[in-house]
Amino acid sequence: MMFNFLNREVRAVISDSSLISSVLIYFIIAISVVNFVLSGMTSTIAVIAGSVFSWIILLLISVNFGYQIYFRDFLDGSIDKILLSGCSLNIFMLIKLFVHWVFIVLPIGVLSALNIKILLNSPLSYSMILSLAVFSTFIIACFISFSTLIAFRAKLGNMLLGIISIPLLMPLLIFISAVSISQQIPYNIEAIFRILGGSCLVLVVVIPFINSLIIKEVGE
Amino acid sequence: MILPINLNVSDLLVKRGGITLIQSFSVNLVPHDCCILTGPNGSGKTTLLRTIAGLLKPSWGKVDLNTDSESKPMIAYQGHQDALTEQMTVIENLIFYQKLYKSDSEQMHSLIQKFSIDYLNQPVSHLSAGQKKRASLCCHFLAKASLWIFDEPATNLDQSSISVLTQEIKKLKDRGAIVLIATHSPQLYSFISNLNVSLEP
Repeated sequence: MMFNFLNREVRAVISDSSLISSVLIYFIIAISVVNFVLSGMTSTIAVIAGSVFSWIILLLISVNFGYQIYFRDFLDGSIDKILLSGCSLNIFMLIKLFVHWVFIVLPIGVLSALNIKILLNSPLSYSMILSLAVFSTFIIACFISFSTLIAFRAKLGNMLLGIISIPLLMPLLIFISAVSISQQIPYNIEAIFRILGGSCLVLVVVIPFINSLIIKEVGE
Repeated sequence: MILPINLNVSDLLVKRGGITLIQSFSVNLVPHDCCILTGPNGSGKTTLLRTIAGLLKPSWGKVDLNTDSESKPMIAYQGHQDALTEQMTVIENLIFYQKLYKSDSEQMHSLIQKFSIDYLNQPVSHLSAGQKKRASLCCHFLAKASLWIFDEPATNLDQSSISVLTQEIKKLKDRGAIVLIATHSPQLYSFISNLNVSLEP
């Protein structure tokens, strides 16, 4: 069953050339904007500006394309058949989350991180930056899936999704910041990975479960 | 093998957006029953079918599927949408539903022949409305359900496809399934149906 869902989602994403090309075009524009803004800035301001720009662009692209991935089944009516088939909705939502993360959020996150590393010559190693991008993009993909479905349930439009996604991420960011400060984590990269890894493990279980509960109510 | 069930709908009240669409609706159906639901646009046919399928929650009343077996009876619902993934080919969609419903490939190939689906390798997005409907019905009939719900199934179909559709529905009924069909053309199913329900707006 899991492979059946995975096969379907991957085929749908790969066959959708407009989706892949749109992500690439968005990304090229985003990289150009970030690099243009960073040129001529001092390193401290450039790090902050580059990170903020990249984060906002990543979030907007992920929200926009997450909308397409999660709503396709509602628009074509296949969600009704999947709901009535008696298969595990948790697994279905886990696969959706995985595909959205792997095909949309992760590539953009990794390329954004590498762009900033090359441009700013950050002291963090490539492997460190890539690892941070992998964990943090997964957390972003989890929250986008949740907020997308909540927005659909509340019958909100696509534009509003981006706005409601940001506050939804805030509690997690505040929690991570609070733990980081208490543990003096700016100097302990291993502890940062533990927190991010722990958050990912919790989210990978909790988010598909919550999403499937939302889906069951969406029919109304 | 179809699991025999009894469908008891009692005193159903369904509201959407504060408007009452279905009020005090009751019906009891047993295996081999085929119920035709008619009514003008906006009379609540789709809402009623979705509520019976369990896709909508009623404001009041109950929908019970009673069976002697311990296993949970399955419901197959064919709505207005085709339930096909546009980016995939017809055969990819069919294989997905074959695996979802755990049906065998022989049944799938038999349905492909009956509905004359000779465009298996074309993406769904390239098909006409009628071709999509035939592929969609083919996927639908792969289910192993006790209660079969059809919402205007003959829309966009040509005469020969309608004939295949009605024959397939008759087979389901003969095998002991309960069939519910919402339609504006009840005469198409007159040789199968044993109960007609008309909804008023």
